[in-house]
Amino acid sequence: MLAALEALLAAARLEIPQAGDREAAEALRVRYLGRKGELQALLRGMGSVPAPERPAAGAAVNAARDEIEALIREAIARGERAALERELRGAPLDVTLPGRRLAPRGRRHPVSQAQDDIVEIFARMGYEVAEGPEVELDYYNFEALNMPAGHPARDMQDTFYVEAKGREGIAPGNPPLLRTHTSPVQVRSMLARQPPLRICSPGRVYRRDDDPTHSPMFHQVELLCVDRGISFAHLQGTLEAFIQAFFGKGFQTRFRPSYFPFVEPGAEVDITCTLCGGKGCRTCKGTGFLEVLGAGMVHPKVLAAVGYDPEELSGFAFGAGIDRLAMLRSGVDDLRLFFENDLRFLETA
Amino acid sequence: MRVSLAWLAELVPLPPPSELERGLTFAGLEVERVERRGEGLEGVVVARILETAPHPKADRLSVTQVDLGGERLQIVCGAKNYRVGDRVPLARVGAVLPGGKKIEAASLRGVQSAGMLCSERELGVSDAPGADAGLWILPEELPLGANVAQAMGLRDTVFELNVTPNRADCLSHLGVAREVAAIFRAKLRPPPEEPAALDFDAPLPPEPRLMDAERCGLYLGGALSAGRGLVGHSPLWMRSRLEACGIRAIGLAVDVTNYVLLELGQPLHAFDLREVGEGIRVRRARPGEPLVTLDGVRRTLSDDDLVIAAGERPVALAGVMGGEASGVLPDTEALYLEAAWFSPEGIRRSARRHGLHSESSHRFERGVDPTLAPRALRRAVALIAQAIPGTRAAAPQGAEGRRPAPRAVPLRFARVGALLGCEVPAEESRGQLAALGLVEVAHAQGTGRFEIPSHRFDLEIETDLIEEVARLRGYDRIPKALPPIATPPAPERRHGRALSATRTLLGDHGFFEALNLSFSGGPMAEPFGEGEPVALVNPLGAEQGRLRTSLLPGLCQNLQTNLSRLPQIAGAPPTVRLYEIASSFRWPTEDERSGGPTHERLSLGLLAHGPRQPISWATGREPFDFYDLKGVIEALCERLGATVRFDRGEARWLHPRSAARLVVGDGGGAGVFGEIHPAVADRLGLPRGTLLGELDLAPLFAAGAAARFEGLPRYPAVLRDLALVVDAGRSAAEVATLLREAGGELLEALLLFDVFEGGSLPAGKKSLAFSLRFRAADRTLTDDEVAKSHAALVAAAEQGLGATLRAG
Repeated sequence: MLAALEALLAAARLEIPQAGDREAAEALRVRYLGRKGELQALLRGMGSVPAPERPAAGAAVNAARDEIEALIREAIARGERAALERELRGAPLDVTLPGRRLAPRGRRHPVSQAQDDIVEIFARMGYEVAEGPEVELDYYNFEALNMPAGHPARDMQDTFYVEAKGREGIAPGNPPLLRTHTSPVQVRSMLARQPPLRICSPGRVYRRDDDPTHSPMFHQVELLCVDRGISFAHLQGTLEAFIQAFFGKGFQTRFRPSYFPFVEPGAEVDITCTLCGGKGCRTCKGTGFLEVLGAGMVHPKVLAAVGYDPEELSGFAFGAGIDRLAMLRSGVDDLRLFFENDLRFLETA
Repeated sequence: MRVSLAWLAELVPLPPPSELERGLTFAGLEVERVERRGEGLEGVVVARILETAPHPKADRLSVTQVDLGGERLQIVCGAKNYRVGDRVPLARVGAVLPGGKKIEAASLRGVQSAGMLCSERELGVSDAPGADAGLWILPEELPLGANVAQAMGLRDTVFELNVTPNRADCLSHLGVAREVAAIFRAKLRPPPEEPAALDFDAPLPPEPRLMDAERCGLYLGGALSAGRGLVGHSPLWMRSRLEACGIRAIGLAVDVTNYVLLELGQPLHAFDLREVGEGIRVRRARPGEPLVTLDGVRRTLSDDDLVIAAGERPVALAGVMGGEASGVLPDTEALYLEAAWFSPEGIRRSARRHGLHSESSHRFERGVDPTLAPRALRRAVALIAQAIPGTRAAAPQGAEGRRPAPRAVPLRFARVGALLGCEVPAEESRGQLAALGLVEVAHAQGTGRFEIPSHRFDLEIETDLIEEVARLRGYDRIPKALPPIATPPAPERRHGRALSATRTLLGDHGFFEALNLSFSGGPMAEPFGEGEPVALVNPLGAEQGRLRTSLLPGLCQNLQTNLSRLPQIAGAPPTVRLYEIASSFRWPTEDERSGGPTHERLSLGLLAHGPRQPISWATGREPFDFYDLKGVIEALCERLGATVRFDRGEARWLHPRSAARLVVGDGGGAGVFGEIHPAVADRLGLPRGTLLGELDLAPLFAAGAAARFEGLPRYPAVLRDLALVVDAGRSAAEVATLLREAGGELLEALLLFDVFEGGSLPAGKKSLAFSLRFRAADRTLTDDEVAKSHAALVAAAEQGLGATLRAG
């Protein structure tokens, strides 16, 4: 019996380390240690061992089982190490193949992006967004802004009128029109609230011209600040802060006297040319500056028209073309590209 | 407004042009363009014709000998309008003419020519008709050999000024000169004043009569006789100044009226004296009264038009344009010169009504100095008398209506600094205003009263004066400061976060944002939109005749444009996914209220076409379909926190089989989406299968609610699968709703993980497989409880839907 055990053990010591992988090792486990295995077969012969020798024989069998078990575990571990080794040494992936995407790329429109950026800058400066209808009444768009009927400044803004013949609630002197600027939101806000007022109104506006540098629809943002003691210096400071936040620290503003009926004193504002950085180029006609927006102190007649006392309150306002600011920021040189929605443009602009 | 610096320099001493340009621009008179005239005439000199002989070989050419003052040259010439002894311009060899023509020594049919004799047009001096009819015959007194541009005073710099509508006083050289005088503190040299009357002895027409004293504040008429010279050329200096300012020279009488207009800013009109013999009447037109204006157009007048009538007959549309038959005629020898003041609003209405815009109406509708007329008339007479010795002129006749009165405006000196935000001493304000001709007539307690000169009719209130002080001080001398923060944090933009989330989410799902114009019309718009459209009175074209009622026509147009420009890749159509967020417009229905005159709805338009995933080696080519679009919309609603449901929908533009309606909260519709109707696609030239959707954002945003954290579950869930076979016509929502109701509190969630038709299933049936999640909030569920719930669900499905359990 012991001899047979010895022989079995010797065979196992030779054979088990030869097992190449887990499967072969498991097969050997079945063969040596399984219920119908060779060790079991030896155990069945235990009956023929004399009783006094049985404990020693039992111990020998247990020791043999432990040893075989250890050999098999070792073989399995070795097999797995080898398998892992093979796995790691296999042919690598072509990591240069493009990745798999769930959805193609999409993007915001550069004008809407610019609009949000602008609104965000003003929000940080304490301005609340106010919005209003795009189809407006003459009163809000012109009359209350110191542009009564017949005012020559109306020529500066060729207006689309809405066909409203026979409609209820449309007064003959107050026809509906497409707003020519976002300034009517000023009027509506001032009529609805008491100062101090800090609002920023972005939106679509309409003027009746269509050529390479004008679109009949474009976007404007208007800023309004009304309080006691608001001065022209505050206008200049606020605008410069805005321009530098939008374009970058190096950009300067320059104010020139100009005329808009709803402000006084009025100004055109130039900024450092975005193309040449102020050195002078064709775009800025060598001046180093580009005209970007109109501004001024809210006209006393406008304040009076909304029931504010111009003796107590003052304010500034300015309006800027968002499309133009977006063009300057992103280097788009043709306004019409914004409204063609060519994907090749939308992907890159 | 074009300003000749040569002319301006007569009226005020000028700094160098670049300094002048800056000074004007930064005082509010923006110089938009600078034009240098008389350049490129370096090699063009004054030559006298010594002799001329026919060209031996060419009938149309002649061979001339010219004298340049000591130097003789032979020139071959094609013109015939000169005589021996005339002075003419010679472009010498080497000269480059304004058109770019380079003059070279040439042999013309065998005869040597050492240059070219030139016409006015060739020298770029004039492009008036007749300017190329022959050589330019120069005045006799010019020195031979002198540079023509210099000798003729052609060298000039012209500023194109952007004169804002409030500064009509700057629509003249005198007006600009006043600005220059104020900006640079220089002394103004106004044009000389002349006596008005010069021995006129012929009979005068009756005194003019004003029938509308509101619309016409002053009418002056001056008779003058000067002979045929009135229709002849005006002096060269006058012509070249008119040309420099962009006005064509016509003949002395008309040129003088234009000259005075450009010099002083007063529009004048010249009638033939014979035409106004019955006397001028300034009256309203009779409705329907005809008048042929100078431009040859027959106009039908309205009773809001003011006319100048000679007797009964209208001879001019007052302040806008003269009549054809009454102005300066080829045989005019005597004039009746009109200088008047008309009220701006009336002129503006007439000019608009007749679509006429003249130098005269441009000024009258912005305002003309109401005191200027007599002076302008005297100036015109003087200029004619200067050109035609022996001119006789009568003292002007006149009639007066109502004109703006002189006024004084108070200024509180302390207000200047307060409004501008810096210290401005009273002395500085006084100084600036004085430079503009405002006289302080009274002073008390820090307030000055300033008399406004008649040409500054735009100055009405204190702020107007503050602006004058500010612009002359220079905006660059006002500091930059930020207003103190005294307001609480601004409220967030209404829907600001929702809009931003929507754009981000759509971008992440492959959609590009489009921006289309708000106008629509034309065939593309036809299938879309609802409600009564808002039409425009004056659209840019029929295709843009109204405001869009839907965003989809624009997106469909964009799809077409992109498909025509993008290539197919690997056999798959290009991916086009677009969205737009904008208002659509319609008239409100009776019980609707809106913020503006029309109903403006914030809409989201969606369009998708092409493969679901970007074409690559690793992805399939399946097209983006209904369920892809629905997935995007579901993700959006989830992101916004809106509880929604989807019903079958319909729209003219949607495929009836593939159309869904988005329902928000308790049943408000928030738009439809699905596959384009094949017939609509074919008609519009769009690919079939394109996915479209239009959602109403306001209700969607309003339904959004921030999720609240309810705590993690404390007891485990039990998962069970359930596969039901139901009629193929049953909707998934129907089945799910029934299961949810029957499952009660214990059924926490269900997930539809498989839909199957065909195979071993009977025809007309489909199988829906759900994964069910059971959980109780207060205990661990036992197998028994779950089994009971599950059985209850099966029973409910059998009873309620006629469903059977699908055999494993």
